[in-house]
Amino acid sequence: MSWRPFRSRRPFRPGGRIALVFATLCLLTTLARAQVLTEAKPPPWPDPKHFARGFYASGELGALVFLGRIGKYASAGPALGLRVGYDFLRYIGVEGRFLGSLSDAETPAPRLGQSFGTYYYGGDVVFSLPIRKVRLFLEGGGGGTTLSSNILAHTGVTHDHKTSFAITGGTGIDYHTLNRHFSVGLDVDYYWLGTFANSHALTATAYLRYEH
Amino acid sequence: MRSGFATLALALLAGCNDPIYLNENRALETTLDSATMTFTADSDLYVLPVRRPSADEQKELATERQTRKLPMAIPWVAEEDFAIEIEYTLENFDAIPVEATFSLNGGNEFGDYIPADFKSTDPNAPLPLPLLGGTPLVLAAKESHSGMFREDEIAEAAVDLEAIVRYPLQDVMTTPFVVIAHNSTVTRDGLQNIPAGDVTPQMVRFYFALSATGNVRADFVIRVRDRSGKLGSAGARGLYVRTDDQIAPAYLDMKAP
Repeated sequence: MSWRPFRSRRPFRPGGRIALVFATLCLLTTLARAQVLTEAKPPPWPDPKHFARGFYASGELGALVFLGRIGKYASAGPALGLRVGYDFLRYIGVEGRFLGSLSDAETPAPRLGQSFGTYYYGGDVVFSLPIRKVRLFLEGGGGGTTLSSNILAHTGVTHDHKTSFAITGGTGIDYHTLNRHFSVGLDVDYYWLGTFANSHALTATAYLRYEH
Repeated sequence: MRSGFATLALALLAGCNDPIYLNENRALETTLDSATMTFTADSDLYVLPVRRPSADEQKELATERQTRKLPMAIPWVAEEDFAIEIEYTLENFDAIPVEATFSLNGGNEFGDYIPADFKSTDPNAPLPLPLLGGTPLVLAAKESHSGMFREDEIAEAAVDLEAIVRYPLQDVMTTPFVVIAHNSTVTRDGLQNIPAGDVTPQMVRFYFALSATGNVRADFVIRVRDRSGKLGSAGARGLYVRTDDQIAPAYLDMKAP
């Protein structure tokens, strides 16, 4: 049998091809809608039990205010900090922290227009109360505070020391994001500067925290 | 606040060269001389506490001098080792306006600049300027005036001292007139004899002087940024810089047979 090219018995009609494409598109659309309708609704909020828990690190930004005698000679200033910790349980954890702040010295002449840095370094125990996506916490601990210069020495407040031991206590609120690792929060801490004369400090910071 | 955060972040990242504030030995105060009924000027010498170099550090200085082929020693206290600023306050205790003059002279580890030593034989010739300050200031009744000698001004004074104390012009007596009147960052007038590769000694002896037409008190504080860890404890024994009332300029030793 010899080969012959295929030849339609009917003449070509463009309307038929268009109808075929339209029908295919309709079929696809119907299938897609069927998928959406069958998928289960996501929960309104992730289960807090699935939030990451363990090692964490956070960066904080805020302000430091000196109180007591040292407050007469030092202005409030911006503060920048870093914390690294570990949550043993959902309710308790430990952390190490460093915080730096910059203040203007409000000292009498001739020591005018001077500024100094304050560095806090220490450790805290953190008690947490998770309530769904919010976590309330209390923290307390101790460490050291070092002033970057002896600008306050002549005031008698620092007793000729640049470093003081410090006892701290604070509280805050943490708000978990949709991501299981990240949360943001507000933190207020009080510092008792034991080596200096009747001197205290208060920090208020906002933070971003990553928990692994 | 935003600039404060930026400064703080930079300070934390770059590490800090934190200043140390050194107190004055005593305040200067003009007092009434009952015999002449004029107010007597007051002055005081403050010597920066600098620790002594170790044996190794001394060897390094000697080696560096040979390497640089300098005719005189490399200073242990170089200008780059300390950034110094002096803040001062003048307070008029009188109930009437007074004119006060606060000036700063002094020296480096190789000698002092004493303006009176450059007095011409002509009695009408003026004394050379002090290294810093010396401008008369009118203080209103009970007024307190604050000022400062900035780090760059002290650094410029150190260059002037180097020319006056170790490498003066051929006509030695004219050197302070030339170098103090000119800024070394603009012109080399008066500094021609300082050899290339020279290390400028820092000003470490501060001779403060106060004069006034009334009862005026001057308080000051010295702010030091120790870049090389050479600052000693104030009042400690065995410090490096001599505490003599005056140190003869080093160029006199060079001329001696």
